[in-house]
Amino acid sequence: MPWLIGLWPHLRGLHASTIIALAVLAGAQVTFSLVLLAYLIGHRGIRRQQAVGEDAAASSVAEPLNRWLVGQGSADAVAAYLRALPPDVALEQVTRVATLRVAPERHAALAAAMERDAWVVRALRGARSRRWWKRLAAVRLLAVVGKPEHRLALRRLLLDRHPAVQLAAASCLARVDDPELVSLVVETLPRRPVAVRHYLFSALRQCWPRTVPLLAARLRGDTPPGRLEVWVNLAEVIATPDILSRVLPLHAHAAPGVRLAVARALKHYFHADSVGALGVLLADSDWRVRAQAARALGALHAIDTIGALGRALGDPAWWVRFRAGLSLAQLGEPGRRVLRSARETTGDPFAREMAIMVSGLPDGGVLELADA
Amino acid sequence: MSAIDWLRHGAIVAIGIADHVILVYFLGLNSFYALLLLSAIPEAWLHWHLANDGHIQRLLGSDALPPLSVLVPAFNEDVSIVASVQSFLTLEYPRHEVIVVSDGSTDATIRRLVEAYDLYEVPAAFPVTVATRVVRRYYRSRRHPRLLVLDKDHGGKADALNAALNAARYPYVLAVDADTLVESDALLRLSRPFLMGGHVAAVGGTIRVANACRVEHGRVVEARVDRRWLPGVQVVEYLRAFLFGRLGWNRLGGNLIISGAFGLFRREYLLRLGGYQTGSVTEEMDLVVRLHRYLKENGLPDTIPFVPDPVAWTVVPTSVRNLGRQRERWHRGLVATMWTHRDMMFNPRYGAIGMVAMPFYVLGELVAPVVELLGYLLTVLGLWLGAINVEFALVFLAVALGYGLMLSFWTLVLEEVTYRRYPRLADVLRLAWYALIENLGYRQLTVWFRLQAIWKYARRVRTRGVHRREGYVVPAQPKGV
Repeated sequence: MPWLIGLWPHLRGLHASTIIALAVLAGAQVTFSLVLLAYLIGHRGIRRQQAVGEDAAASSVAEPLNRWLVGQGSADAVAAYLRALPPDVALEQVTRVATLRVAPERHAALAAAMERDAWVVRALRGARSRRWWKRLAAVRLLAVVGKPEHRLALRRLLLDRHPAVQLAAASCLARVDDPELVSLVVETLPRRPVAVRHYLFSALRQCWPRTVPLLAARLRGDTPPGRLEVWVNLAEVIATPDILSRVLPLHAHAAPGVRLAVARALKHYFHADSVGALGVLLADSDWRVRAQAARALGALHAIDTIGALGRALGDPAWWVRFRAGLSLAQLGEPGRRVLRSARETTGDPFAREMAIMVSGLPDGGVLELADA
Repeated sequence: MSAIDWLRHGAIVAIGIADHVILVYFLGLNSFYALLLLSAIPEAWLHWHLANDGHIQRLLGSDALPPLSVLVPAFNEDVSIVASVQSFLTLEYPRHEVIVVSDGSTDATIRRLVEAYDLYEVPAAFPVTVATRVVRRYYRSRRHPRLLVLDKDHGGKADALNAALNAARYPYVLAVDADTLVESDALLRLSRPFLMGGHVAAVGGTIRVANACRVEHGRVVEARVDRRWLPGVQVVEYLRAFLFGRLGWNRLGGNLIISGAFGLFRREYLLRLGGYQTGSVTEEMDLVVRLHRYLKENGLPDTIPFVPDPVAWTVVPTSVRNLGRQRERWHRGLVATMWTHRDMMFNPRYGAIGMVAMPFYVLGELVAPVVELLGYLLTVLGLWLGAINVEFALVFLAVALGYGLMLSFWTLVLEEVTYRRYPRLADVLRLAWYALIENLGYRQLTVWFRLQAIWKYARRVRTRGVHRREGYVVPAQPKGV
């Protein structure tokens, strides 16, 4: 115990120094809290004023921009108005232009009018910034003012580490119309994350005349299955008859992933051969392939396959039964007749259950589910 | 020196030492909160940029996003179920289905749904992966093919979610409470991590307080702050928890909580985990910890991020009694989860979850009410024995309150510069007022509820307890339903 009591003076000493330290801390906290409170109140007012200013600035450019869009105003007038706006607001307005269909020569005139403006030069310099949102701003601007000499910058941005920048860069592809850049995107598709890949599909579809030959060269049986699967998916999105005709022979590929992608793509290919191929895929060993084949047959309204779809109603896999049921419902009265028969007379409980479920759906419901 | 003097001196020294231990604990804990806050700033900045980028928002509308199933457990929700389901069906998202599970409702929940959505019975044509109580009927709708309704025996929320999980068709599932008001674009925003290309096992969104907000057709159309202090203080509390707590954890190793009222999960992982744990006091924390464990043990790179801008609104308790039940249950859930997964604590195998998040939740959250009570008792005793001088007690109190106030104000500033959900300045000032008074009474109340939770857990009370939900406003019946 004496050793404990011996601590007391030390603790008292600690108390005194602790009180001073804590008092300083409390004072700092109170001051900081008051500053935050003042900021909280002040920021509301400042923000409101800023918003009013930004709205006024944005609407000031709306009139010349709209006139230019309908072919009445000059690009120089638009550029002059944009010059007077805060860079963020100007960029928003320019982005609007990028999303509209404007004749290439008018686009080029606007780009020429803007290219030397200080805010444009500054924003384009952001393409090399370490901050992703600056790179994003730069690439969005490139969608409007991009020229052949920006090709290298765009190439770098297409491979940017931030997905948002990659996506924005991909939306420039159609405007830049450069086969090398399109090839780069097609080639790197398989290693992109799934959601990013889907957006890139849409971008590549917009410049399909460049994409199709590049893609056709890759749709070969000896391409590694993982990559081939992605390119078949791209073919499904582009869905031109010539590219789908390249997909068709791949239905016999050894890799189930490729067969699955083929079954999915063929639902856009209204051709007798595709119905035949899908009939083969409906008997595939992989249930995912069978389900997609059943779905595609419904989309193609392949009335000749009604018997096979009826048999698929009794498939061991729920998804195959479901897709077959929906496809039968899509085939109109003959398909509905098969469903009724499965509901009332079949001894197969799987087929009966699915037939009851699908029969209850109205036509709109069938279409919605078949599309999902 | 007499024996009493010895004892008195001993007590004084012990109190002095304990005081300093508590002070060190307090400073350590608050330093960690400061670290969380600092970590939240770049995260808030990043998400604010993404949330406000028009280009990204446009991209989010496309069908590249994975389809998802919205799981809605409902127990005796006949008053609001039709409007709730309508609001879930009309969420902006390329492809989603809604699965409502009436968990043995004894009111007219099922009848209302059958009438409103023209439901018809379908066979139980789904593979049952997770065992649940008996599902009596499955219904599909003639009006909304994307709606599936299950009518099952009562088994609790976790059991209802498991039944919905079995019936879900899509690779991601969003669990929401039937009375949660999800903002129309919340699903799109919640799925932003997919667009950003990450491996995502689950995503959490923000829950805000719906009390006093203007609600139309199952959506909050005007955010307001309640004039009553109890729900008002909880607005500040929720903002603090979501805007800097969970955002900060994004940087410090991952969140341990995804709100059960609004969380998106990868279905495959939930099935591999055996679904929601039916015996659990709070299913959401237990699930997220099990998911972290699963990911780490299987070397999977998936993350569990929190995204601040997708918002769901919920009603918070307006009576001390209901608040007590809720907080006691939450804290008991925390104790149970930490105890169940104690082998993960300080285990480098589990990375930041084991080395940072779980120790923080034990030392900073679980034990905090005990330390706080001890602090109050020692202060009173110390003042009585003369072991603590009044100046020390007052300054310590000022620092403790000031720190809480500063964190709350900082959260309000974060809200103001980023999302600004409260359009009226009066509401912002009201929030500042609630931040000020939160430490005087409310905080002590929650300490008491949490102590009760620890006591009950020690006495092996494992039931969920009855938490009576309070309605916001009875939503209007949507047209055409």
